[in-house]
Amino acid sequence: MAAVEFRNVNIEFGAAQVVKDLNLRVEDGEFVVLVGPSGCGKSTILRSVAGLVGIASGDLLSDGARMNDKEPANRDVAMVFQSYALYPHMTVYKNLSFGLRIRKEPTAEIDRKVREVAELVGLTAHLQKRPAAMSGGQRQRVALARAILRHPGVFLFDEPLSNLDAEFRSSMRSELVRFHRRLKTSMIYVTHDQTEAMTMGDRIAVLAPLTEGRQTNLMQYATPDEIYHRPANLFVARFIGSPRMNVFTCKVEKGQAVFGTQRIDLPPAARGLAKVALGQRPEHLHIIEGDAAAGVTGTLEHFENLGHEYIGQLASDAGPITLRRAETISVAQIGATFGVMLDPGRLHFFDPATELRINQP
Amino acid sequence: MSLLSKDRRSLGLAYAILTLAAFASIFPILWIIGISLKTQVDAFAMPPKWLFTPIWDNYAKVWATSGFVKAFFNSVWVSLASNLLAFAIGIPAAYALNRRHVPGRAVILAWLLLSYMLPEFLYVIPVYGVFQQIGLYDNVFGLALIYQAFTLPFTIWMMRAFFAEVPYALTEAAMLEGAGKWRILWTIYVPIAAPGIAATAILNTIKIWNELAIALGLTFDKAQTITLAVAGFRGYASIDWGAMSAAAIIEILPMLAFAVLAQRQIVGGLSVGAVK
Repeated sequence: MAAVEFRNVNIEFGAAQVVKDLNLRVEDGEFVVLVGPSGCGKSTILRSVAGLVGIASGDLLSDGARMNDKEPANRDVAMVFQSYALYPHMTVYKNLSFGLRIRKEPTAEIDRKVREVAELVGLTAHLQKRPAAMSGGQRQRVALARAILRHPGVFLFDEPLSNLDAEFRSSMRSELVRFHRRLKTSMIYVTHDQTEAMTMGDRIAVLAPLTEGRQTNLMQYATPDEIYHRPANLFVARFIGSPRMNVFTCKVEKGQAVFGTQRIDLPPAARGLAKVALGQRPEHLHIIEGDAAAGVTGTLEHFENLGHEYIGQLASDAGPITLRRAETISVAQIGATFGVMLDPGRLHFFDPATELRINQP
Repeated sequence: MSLLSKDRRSLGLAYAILTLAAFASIFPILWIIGISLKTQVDAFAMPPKWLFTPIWDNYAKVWATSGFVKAFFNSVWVSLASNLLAFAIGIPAAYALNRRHVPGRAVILAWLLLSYMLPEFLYVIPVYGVFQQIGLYDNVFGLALIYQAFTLPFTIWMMRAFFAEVPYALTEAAMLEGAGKWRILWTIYVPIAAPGIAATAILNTIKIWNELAIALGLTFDKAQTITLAVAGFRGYASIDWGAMSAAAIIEILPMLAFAVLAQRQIVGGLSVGAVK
């Protein structure tokens, strides 16, 4: 068991800075998901915990002790790799016992531990197989079992489910969460998949690539609820949620935002701005049929019927708009026009210049 | 004319060329087999005798020549020893050179390749003097040492290519479990690259087995190799063509067996890095 903490951590690859001024604390026993688009440094951060990537400056602490210069083997971590990294020439049994043999544990003890963990992840019948003879899901379990055998203070997962097919991925997801609940060991989990982030993490760290003068990669570090319902900035607002949040940059007149014919009251902090960015999730927009007064008029350009929900793409004067409804809208014809209004109670306000959230008092 | 018939025609042409090329390279060997199975008189009959009763006298004679048998086993020994030495050095070297952060890696590799292209005789003259001084002249171990140096660049290049195919994540996983560099090399890289080691060893052995120039310069009697023994059937006044041909065929056989048995590894080894 261990708490992991990054203090002002910078990581560089040659001249390129990949991670900048990272401050993040993973509490003992917490499941933290690092999520972000490619190039945001999430895997690099994970690998720096394992000691596979060096830290240029700043401190990496484990239970308060500085880890920067410790050998990977002495860091009390176990990692599950995206490619699983199983030794292809060894049987599952040999793969699992590899580390125990290195640590020169007695043979009987090794055998007991390997069989115990194989039982736990359901691999008992496959111990004499080689990885090539197994399915992706089984290999995944071998990789997990190997990590469990380490009894680490922190588990590190590097996109472990990305090579599995969709159906199996979701069952593996809940399996991992249950597994975390039982072990109560700290886990850091890297993914680019927001579903995994939302469903698995106690807390989510949303990371962004270091572009145009960003001061750090870390955009927001909070619970899934907080991230979804109170995104700290436009990056998080757009990244989390599928389909992504609609963002309209609107003029401010007399302390109100102008959305077509609709006037929206702004929080005090936004009233002085020239422009404000309004964010609204696709499921919260109001559709006005007929000629009733509406904010803007949209034309349906494309729709996707997923059975349980309906996603429509509209073109409007305010830019493209995405709609989501649990039931099919009656006017489901391409080219149909209808009015769109914002739900003032479910708006997110951002300053377009700083991209930061403006809170309601 | 349809596309299919055009394809077929070019395929026919390809086969014709290949058959011709195969014939051109196999014919001399068939001719040597013919000589080795004929009497001296039949061997040089003009026009050639296509039908004859094979005799095995030449093979019996060759195998009864003590110098030839000794040379045969010298070659076996030298091949084994120089391969062992080349791999003992080449495997760790290839592992180290496989990592990107080795300073001067490209230069080292270019020099290795360059040294591999140098003619054999370049080794012979300076090494002759040194070996005379330190007592390695006409010594199988001395010869193995030189052959090791001779095949090492190739060994390193091949092993590096095979090691490059091993995913780096395996190294990282092993590091996290506490494995050191040597353990990672011997328990992960070497077993995974085993087919590549076999292919490289076979190609090295073929090269050493057929080598003449170095053996000629650095041996005199005790350490003579099979290529010299074959040439040895050329006497002062006459050449024993029958025995020499039989000796040449005996020389070919082990390598032929090797090539047939390890065909897959050799082809795999030669085409490593070609796909993907």
